[in-house]
Formats: sequence, structure tokens, C-alpha cells
Amino acid sequence: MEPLKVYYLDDEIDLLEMFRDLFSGPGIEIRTFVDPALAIAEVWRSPPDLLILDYRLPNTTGDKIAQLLDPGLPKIMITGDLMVKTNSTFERVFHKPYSFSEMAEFLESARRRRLAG
Amino acid sequence: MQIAPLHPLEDERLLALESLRLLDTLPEQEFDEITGLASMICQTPIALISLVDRDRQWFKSKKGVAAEGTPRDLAFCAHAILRDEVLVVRDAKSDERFRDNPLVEGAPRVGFYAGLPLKDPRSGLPIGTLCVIDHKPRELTPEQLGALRALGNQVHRLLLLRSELNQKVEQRRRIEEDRQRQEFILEGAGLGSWDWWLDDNRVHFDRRWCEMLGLDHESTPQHLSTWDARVHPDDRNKAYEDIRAYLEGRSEIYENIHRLRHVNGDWVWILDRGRISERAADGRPIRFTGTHFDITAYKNRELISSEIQKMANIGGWELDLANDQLTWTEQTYQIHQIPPGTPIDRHQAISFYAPHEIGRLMSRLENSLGGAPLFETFEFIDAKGEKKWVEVSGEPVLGADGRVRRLRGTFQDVTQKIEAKQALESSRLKAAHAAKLASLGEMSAGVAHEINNPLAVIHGTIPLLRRFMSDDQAFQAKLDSVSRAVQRIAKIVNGLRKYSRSSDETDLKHHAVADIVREALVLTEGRSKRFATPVEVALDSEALTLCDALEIEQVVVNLINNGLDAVKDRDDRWVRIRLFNQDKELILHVSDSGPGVPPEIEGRLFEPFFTTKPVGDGVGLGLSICKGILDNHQATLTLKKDEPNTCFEVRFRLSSEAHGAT
Repeated sequence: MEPLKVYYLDDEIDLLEMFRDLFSGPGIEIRTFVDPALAIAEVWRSPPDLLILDYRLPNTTGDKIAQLLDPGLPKIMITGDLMVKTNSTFERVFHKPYSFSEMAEFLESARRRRLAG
Repeated sequence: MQIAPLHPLEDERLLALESLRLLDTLPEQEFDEITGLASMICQTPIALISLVDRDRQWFKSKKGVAAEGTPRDLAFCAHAILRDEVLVVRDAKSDERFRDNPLVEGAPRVGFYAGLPLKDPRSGLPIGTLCVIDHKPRELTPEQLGALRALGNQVHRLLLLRSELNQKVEQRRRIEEDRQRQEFILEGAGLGSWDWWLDDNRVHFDRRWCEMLGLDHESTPQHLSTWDARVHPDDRNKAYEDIRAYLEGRSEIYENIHRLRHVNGDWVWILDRGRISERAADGRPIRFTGTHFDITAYKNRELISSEIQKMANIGGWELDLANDQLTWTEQTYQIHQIPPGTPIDRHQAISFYAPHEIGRLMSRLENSLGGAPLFETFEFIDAKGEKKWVEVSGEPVLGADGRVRRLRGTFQDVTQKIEAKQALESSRLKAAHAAKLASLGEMSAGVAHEINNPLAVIHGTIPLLRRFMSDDQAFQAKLDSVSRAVQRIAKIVNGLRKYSRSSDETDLKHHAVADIVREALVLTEGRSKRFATPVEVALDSEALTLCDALEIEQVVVNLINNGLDAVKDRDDRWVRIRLFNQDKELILHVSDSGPGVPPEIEGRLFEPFFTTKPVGDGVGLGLSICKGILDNHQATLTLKKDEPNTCFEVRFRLSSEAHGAT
């Protein structure tokens, strides 16, 4: 059984590290990116099952990156910005600080959906 | 012959003779009758009343001679006046003293002489003689001598009458002289006079008193009713009150200004002064005398200026230090909301000031007693309880001795002025406050993000710490990341703390503007990230300027945020900050990639509430507040025109202890 492949782009290394420590496991493979360009290149080369984008990124936003990618690719956003609202590009928006159990549940349900799909 | 020596009191004797005013006067019957009787009784052809003057004898009355008199050296009478008793010369030709006297040798050929000295009734000094003369030697019988003495007494009585008459004439002349002098003074001073008999109200009004009012002196009734009927009704009570106060001894002087009706209907302003000129035995005043002075010309000028004062809501006041009497003008009463004319003392006057103002008022008054002019605004509550602001000026009036006699000055209701100023100040504060809130609101979103990221790190790391408890190296790494997150939050909170300062007062210190810009960047970092707009910073000067760091930081934050807002929808987005020294000034440029400000709105940029942002995006106070703050710092804010992009320029004055460029 292939694990759920998750890519996460954020400019906060501490956050990326923490995310990996918290949620990687036998069913979930997490790759993290600090540089938007590298993340985009990697998505094009080898699309993940789920893309997690930070909203605010150096010189760009997660929103704009999402528009460059396959609309069919499941994406969620994690942001500390209060002004960012849910929109159709993203399945879900998590506001920092988010609940880890909610994130864990979401990842688990994504994994099940992929199995189901 | 022998010339008679002078009398021992010759000067006084001559003065006494002079003052009888008999010399060189016309013959008088009373005297001629006496010489007539003397000649008849003594059976002599000649009888004289001779007055012995300095160099001559002069005959006041003469019987039997034509001459007016003779030189004193020849005069028998000059000898006679040196004696107390009658001088009798029985035979002049055989007398040593007169033998070769021309009056003996020639006309009138004196053979016999008897002279009774006449004395001045007031001084008792001899002034001449009553004498009888015959051409041949002879004797007088004791009866004849007795009669001569009786006639002499008669002459004395005449002299006494004459002397008294002279005194009276002299007195009258002096009185007339005084009167003329007074008249002259009154006339010269333009004064009319009045003389009031208090028992029956007869008043003597002089000619000028009448002329001042256009009255005919001759036909004006000399009675108080003349004055009473012409006093202005508004002035009558005060005039009578002042008169009564003086007559009853309650005031030192009588002085009153009142209007009297001129015959032509005009009102004449009179300065009336008077004093008691006579009292009854029991001390009661019975006569009151004084003057009128026409001050209409001065008064009109005064009225004009008081009209101007009324229009300007300016009153006047005067405090007489001698009797502690306080005087207010009508306008001052009106500001107090007290009926004009109400007697008022110093303590009552002070009670109108707000309690917290009284200390200041008293100390200012104290200073002005020492000669310092007073000019202050005080909070004040009028008689109707209305709160006002009054501006009080005062200056000391010095007496001839150089000591402060009175304080006087103006009194003005400046409530509207002060309230307008306060309203302006409060709206300025409100605007500044609104701007502060607005910029806080704009910042808060960015700041929340900045805090949320490290918060998320901490939040997520705590459960991991438990997991890595056994792995010492991983545990340390997690602790480090928590510590970094905490430090980041602390830095942001520290930047915000300054905004919580409650005082609206500025706090001027020497600050490096570069430091202020760095602080501002912490607060704008969130927005610049959110808008994905890089802020490029070149701080080339660490120079100091005297400023309120928080206010300047607000300005910088505002300028950066404006730049970020202006370019957020553009593809090429940047904001640049440059700080450098130029010609003893410290210059800050905040520019953005925008195309500049359209000329049509350039002029309105710094107006309050002017904004190009959509409704809800900005309050439009930013630039106007920035400009206000910089004005207060004597710094300038302008839009730089020779740049391809939008560039705001701030010029600061360098502190004297400025650093050089770094």
C-alpha cells in the first residue's frame, strides 16, 4: 500500500520540521519545501496526493502558486493571515495555530479517500 | 536856628502817617472846623493841622495861610512832634531854635507858636500837630490851652474814624482782589462755581456755571432746584448719594460725574467737586462750595472707546489700594451677570473665579502690586452659574511717591475663543487618535500573522518534546526552535508596546532615525510579506534628530504602508527606503514602484480625509497626520517630483550632537 504523498510549502523551516515530526508515519510521506520555485518544479515532475501551501510566501502567495498548478490536484492552505478566507481553489484552509487532531483527521480522511479512489 | 532831630522811630512814624491816607488829600470840613475853632479860641490869625512828612510838613487844614506846607527843616511842628506836651514858643525871635528861621524873618512872620502833637490812633506815634500861630510874641491863657487840647482830642477822634475807615476800605479791596483772583482762576480753568447753603437750599451759581448750560446768569433761580431739574435721571441718585456720603463724613472728598441738560437739549458731562466751606457751632455743615467742570469732550472720547470695548466684550476694572475700593465698568458687570452699579468688593470679585484658579489669580495680582503687568486667562463662573473663560489684564498705577496707588486693567469674556481653541485641539487629538487606530488596524493583520507563525511552532513543538524526551539531540533542537519562536513574538510585542502609551504628550529625545526605521520595518514586515512586496532598505546615516520616536515611527509606518497599498495590484512591486545626510539635513525617501501621483490630486495629498483608496480601505488621515507630526518636529514632508516613481521625502533637522554618516 502506497503511503499518502504530501508536499508542504512554507517559508518557516521550524514549522515545516514540526509538521513532519508530527504527522509523518507509515501511511503518510511528507516532503517539505521552503523555496516556492523548487516546490512548483517538484509538483510538475512528480505530483503529490495533497499539496499544502502557506499563503504568504517570499514575493508571492500560495494562492498564486496554486493557479500555476493542476486544478485537479487536491490542495489545502495553512495560513497565519487572518484576512485569507476559504476559496474554491483549496479544499480547506487551516488558520494558524490549528488543531493537530483536526489536521491528523484531515490527513487520515485524505488517505482513505485515495484508497477509495 | 536849629533843625529838629528825627523821631527815634522815624521809619515807623512815616509808615503810620502814610497808612492814614491823609497826605495830599482835599480839604475836609471836619478838619477845617477844628482849625477855625482853634484860631477863634486862641485869638490867633493862623491855625493849622500840619502833618510832618519825610522832607516837608503838609497842611491838612489851614486857617490864615495860603501855603500848602513848608520844608521840614523850617517846621516848628518838626520840634513839636518830639514832645508829649504842647510846645509853646512865646517869642520866636528870642528863641535859640527859631531865631533866624526864614518863617520868622519873612512870611508868615511867626512871632508866637503853640503846637499840640497829634498821634496816630493805632501806633501812638506822632504824625503832626494842631498848632496856632501869631505874628507877635504873646501867651495863651490856661483856658485857651485847655481848649486847644480838647480840639486835639477831637482831631484824634477824626483820625481814629479815618483809620478804621481805611482798614475797612483796605479789607474790602483785599476781598475784591481775592474775588477777582478767584474769578480769574475759575475763568482760566473753565470752572463754574456753586455755593450752597444747606439749611434752605439757596445756591449761588456763578456766571460760568450758568453759561455752561446756556442759562442767563441774571434770571437763573439761585436755588438747588435749578440744578436738580437739569440732572440726568440716570445720574441723579448717584450724585445725591456721593454728596450725602461726603457731608456725612463717609468719604474724604465730594467728586461726581453727572450729566446736566443744556438749554439746547444736549447733555453736558460735568465733573462736580466740592467741599464744606462752613460749619455750624455744633460741627454740622451748613455751607457747601464747589466747582463744575465741563468734561463733555473727554467723555465723548471715552464713550466712543467704551462703545468699542463693548463691541469687543471688553470691560474695565480698577482697584484703589488706599480704600480697597473696586470699580467695574458696565461691561465687567455684564460679564459677571450682575446688575451694573451693584457695590462689589475685592473678596466678592475673587469668588467668581473657579476654585482651582484662585491661587494663580492671587499670585498674579501680588506680582502686579510689585509692578509686573498682569495678562492671564482664568476659568470663571458668572452669577448665573455659567462657566466662562475670562482674560484679565492689569497694571499698577503709581502715585507721585512712586508707590502703587491703584491697579487697573481690562476684563474680557474669551469663552468663545477658548472653546474654539479647545474644540480645535480636541478634534486634532481625535484625528490623531483615529489615525493611530487606523494604522493599528492596518498593522494588526500583519502582526497577527507574524505572531501566529512562531505561535504555531511553539504549539506544535510541545507535543514533540515529549516524543523526543529520550533523544537528547532532537530534544535540544526542538527547544531551540521554541526559543526562537518566543524571541520573535517578544520582538513584535515590544514594537507594539509603544503604541499603548496613554499620554498624548510628545516625548522629545535624540534618536537615530535609522533606528526608528528599523522599528517601523518590524511592524510593516507582515504586510510586505502578505502583499509579496519586497521592502528594500538602505540606511546610510545613523544621524540623530530631536524627536518623539513613536510619532516618527508612525510616520514611517504610514509611508511604508501607503507604498505597499499603492503597488499591491501591480506586477512589479517594491518599496524602497533610503536614509542619508545631505547639506546638514537628514533625508528619508520612501518610494514605491507606483507611477507617481497624478498632478490633479497632488495638491490635495496632505488634506485630511483625502484618500484614493476604496471606501473601507483607508481613513485618509495618514498623510495629513504625518504632515502634522512632522510640522511639530520642524521637519518637512513633500512629494518629490523629479522621480520616475512615487517618492515621499522627509527632511529632518540634525541634532547638534549628530553622528556623521556611517
